[in-house]
Amino acid sequence: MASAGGYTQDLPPQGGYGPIDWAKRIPKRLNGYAVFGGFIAVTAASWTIFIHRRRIEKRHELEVNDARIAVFPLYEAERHRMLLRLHRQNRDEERELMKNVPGWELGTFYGEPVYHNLRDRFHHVTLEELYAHSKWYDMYTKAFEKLEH
Amino acid sequence: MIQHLISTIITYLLILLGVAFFTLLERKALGYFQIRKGPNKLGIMGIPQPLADALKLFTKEWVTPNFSNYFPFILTPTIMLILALSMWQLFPSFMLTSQMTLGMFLFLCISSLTVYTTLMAGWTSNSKYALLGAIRAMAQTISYEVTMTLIIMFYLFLTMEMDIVSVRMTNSPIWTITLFFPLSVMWLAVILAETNRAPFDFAEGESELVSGFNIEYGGAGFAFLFMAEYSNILMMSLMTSCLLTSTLIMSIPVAIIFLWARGSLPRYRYDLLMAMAWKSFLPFSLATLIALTPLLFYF
Repeated sequence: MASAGGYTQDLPPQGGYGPIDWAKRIPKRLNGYAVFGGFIAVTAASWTIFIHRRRIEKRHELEVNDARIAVFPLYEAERHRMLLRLHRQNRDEERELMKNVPGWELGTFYGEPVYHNLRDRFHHVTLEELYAHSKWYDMYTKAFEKLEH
Repeated sequence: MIQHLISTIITYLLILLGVAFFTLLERKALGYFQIRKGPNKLGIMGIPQPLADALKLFTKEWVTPNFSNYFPFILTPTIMLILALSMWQLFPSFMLTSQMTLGMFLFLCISSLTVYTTLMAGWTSNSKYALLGAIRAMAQTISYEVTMTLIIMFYLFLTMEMDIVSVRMTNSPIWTITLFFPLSVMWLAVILAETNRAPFDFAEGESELVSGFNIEYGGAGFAFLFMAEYSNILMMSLMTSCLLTSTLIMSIPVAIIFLWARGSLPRYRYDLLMAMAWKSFLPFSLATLIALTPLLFYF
């Protein structure tokens, strides 16, 4: 009986199968001293780099802080200037708005001073009062200034 | 304000999506760990599987046990999810709408509060399995929280700030994982225990407690608990990448370590777990803190 198209039976390889690999394979243990030495080396190196970089960063921080202190008076002056301009705008607005009210005195509410205390000295008004004649979102920008930045 | 709202909503949506596909990754990974295929039928290669799961869970009937304390029982999953999501406010991106000066402190506070929700879930179910699971989970989480706080304190000493972006920036000269490697390994074990994950999943303990503290929850409640748990896992891996390495991409290998540990380690023994927390982790982390932080003040 002719076999179909060079069919060969599935047989073991020539000379039979190799011996069964039954031995337990224990993975190679690392040398403990090497591991410990490597750990010490890595730790020492990283502490050195870390502390070195940390010193440099502290110096940068100090410099930035000094710059901030130097600029602070200018910044404060600008803020005061803005406040004064706002007050002036408010005054002009109020004069325009209340010109037809009889007996209206600027900066007072029917005789009660708004911008001065009992000793007749200036005191800050609330944000709503300060931004009464401005756009509402100007006030919100101011109020959340700290949050936005 | 609008910016905060939009960024928060986008963050939460993306986290929920991330959680969904992390569960898919876990099922796939566990499948290949056990030489089988995991979900591969739905859609293309089983990718929309988590969406189908969520749909199934949310359309199921809401069943409450007769003797449960009804209101806290239904409130618990919600609180758990809210706590888990609110931690994502701390995402340490460099393009934040707001900066939290005490970010690490907030992280510690919220992760401590998570214990109470576990206890609530166990107690309000009025079921013995749930109560036992909750008590076990609570004791474990509280014990490991001590060590977690001490390890975080070590890395905060390096930063001297509690803002999470600053903590991340501390890693820029050199990854702080190299500063004391054993501490990092311990941190890995601690976050596994802290999130009640295998091999420390005594809150689940299905061989003794059927399903642990969430046994009475089904449908949407179970989905919420599940999402909270996985969100916590992702948060912990993010925290790891933020504390130990400077890049957030390193949170992905850490998240995969969670799956690897679940796929290859048998459950630990409870008394050994507690002994490890109090007798080896706590003294070790304390000693590290005392021995190494003075280095920062001498140099």
